[in-house]
Amino acid sequence: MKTAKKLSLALATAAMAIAPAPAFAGWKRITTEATDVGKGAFVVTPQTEWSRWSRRPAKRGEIWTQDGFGLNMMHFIGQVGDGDTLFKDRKKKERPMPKVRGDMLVTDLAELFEASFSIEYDVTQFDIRAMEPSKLGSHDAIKMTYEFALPNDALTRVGEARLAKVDRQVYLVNFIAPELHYFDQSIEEVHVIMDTLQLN
Amino acid sequence: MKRLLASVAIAGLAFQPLAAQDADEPEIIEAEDVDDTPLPSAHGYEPRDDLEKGLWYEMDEAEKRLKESRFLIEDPALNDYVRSVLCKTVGEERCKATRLYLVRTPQFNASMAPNGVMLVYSGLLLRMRDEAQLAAVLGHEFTHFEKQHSLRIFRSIRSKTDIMSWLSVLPVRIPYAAAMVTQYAFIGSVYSFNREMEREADAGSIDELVNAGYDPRAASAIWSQLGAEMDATAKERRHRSDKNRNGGLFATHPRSTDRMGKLAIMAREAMEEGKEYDRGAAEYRAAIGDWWPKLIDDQIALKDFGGTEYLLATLAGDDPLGWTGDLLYARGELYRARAEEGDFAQAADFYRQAIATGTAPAESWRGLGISLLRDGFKAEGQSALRSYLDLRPDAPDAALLASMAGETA
Repeated sequence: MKTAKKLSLALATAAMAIAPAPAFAGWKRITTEATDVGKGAFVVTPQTEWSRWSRRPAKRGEIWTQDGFGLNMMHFIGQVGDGDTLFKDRKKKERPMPKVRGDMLVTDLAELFEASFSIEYDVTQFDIRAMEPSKLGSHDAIKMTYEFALPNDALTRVGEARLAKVDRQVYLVNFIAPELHYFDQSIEEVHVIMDTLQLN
Repeated sequence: MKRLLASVAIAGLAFQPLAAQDADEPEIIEAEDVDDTPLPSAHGYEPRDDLEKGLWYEMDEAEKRLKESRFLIEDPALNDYVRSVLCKTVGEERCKATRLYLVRTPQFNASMAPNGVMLVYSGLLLRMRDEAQLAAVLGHEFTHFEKQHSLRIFRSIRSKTDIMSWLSVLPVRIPYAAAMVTQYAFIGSVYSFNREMEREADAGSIDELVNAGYDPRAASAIWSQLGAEMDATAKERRHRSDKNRNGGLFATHPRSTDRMGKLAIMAREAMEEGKEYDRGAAEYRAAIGDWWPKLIDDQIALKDFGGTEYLLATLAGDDPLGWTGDLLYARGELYRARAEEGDFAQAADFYRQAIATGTAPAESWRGLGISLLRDGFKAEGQSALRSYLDLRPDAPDAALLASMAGETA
């Protein structure tokens, strides 16, 4: 009970840390049918229902969650071309986002992700647990597992990201959750999504 | 929940000195004469009234959280060293009032709370060039503490309005690195010290330096380094330099340039002719050595090309021979991370120079391999990656690099 209480209590603040609320945020239910994601950058067929946030993290991007951003969060960002940034460059002056280059290597994709993700969420600590060759849909990809920390947040959060480069464009699918309970709760489905989605 | 919510409130509080830069000049609270009251550095000092007790309570609670933080640097050797510099600077007796914590964050800052908690950020350790500079910062913060500057500001605020409503109306301007340290910024840097107090702390640090035998010119040197670094950051990012408006320790109502000049004059006046003053550059380098690669990695992760390039050059002492393997590796990482036209060739060059010193980290081979591959030199790049994998077979990205090196499918 204690743990459950702690978790639900953490939710409120965690959500705050992860998603500074915009003025008009809305949600759309995602059902288990094949769905166009990121203005057609992906076609995704989830196994369970998710909620999609109305605010896009990138031009062709979406963020999904099941229990609220503090507890689980999945990014789909696709068709990021030469000179564009992975996430919207919202803090350009103080912390500019790194730009995608068409000739990036897989290791560069990992560094691109680490830097962009850290800037987007003011991540205070980012440690890579493993990096290996993998697939995103049917394309060669890099898979990173990592843990990270947020300002004013006592939870250990972990994430798994896969990035692929297809025709000089970068695709990212990333899942993050507190290590305690929530990561394991969803990771199997996340793996199926990452394995079966289609890149356009 | 209480704890988490409290930390959110603290985060708001913590930004106050940073936010206050653009606000109107706070009301001047004169540095008062405290001769007849016991100094907080005195043995057995206790808070004197409810307000001070309340402030201590808050700070003690913050200290408890700090002790659990994953960002604390616990390495006993490094902690002992920084503490020894503090104790040498202010003397063993007064030093006892201090509980010192080293926090891993690339921000250039230090602070001291009214209850004796002193925070030193690793970004500060990275930038100090010798022991005397570190002593100057510690002496400065200790003076704020001993003169009870933050307590006095707290009293003045409390007498006017309720603290929480005061917090809620503050404009917040957060420099890029500040978000990283909200957990700690609370302690000791809640208050934007006024001009008089900063002058008092500056003068105090010069006295402490001279008494301890350190070269007091170290204090003004810090300001010139910091100002130039901020100019370099601004130039690269094409905006106005923040050198006169940054927060915390450097929340300077006396502007940086002005302050630098005054410190230099105070130092000249305080020095006795013919007497030798200590800089402790070699001692400092030896003490920081093991930590240096981690600290520079943190700095490079900030993606501040201009500022970091300047910082590396100052650490090399503007001397071609000062470029050690570590510094050259860091410079390679910096150029590779920027990834603009010609940067990979430059980076490869720095990695090669680093490797040639024989003291560079093994990661120099990794950087070299990736840079060469990016520039189209496939065979050489793969060969460099294989050298890295020979040295670090258990690297977290070993499988990936092996495939890039052509070792596996």
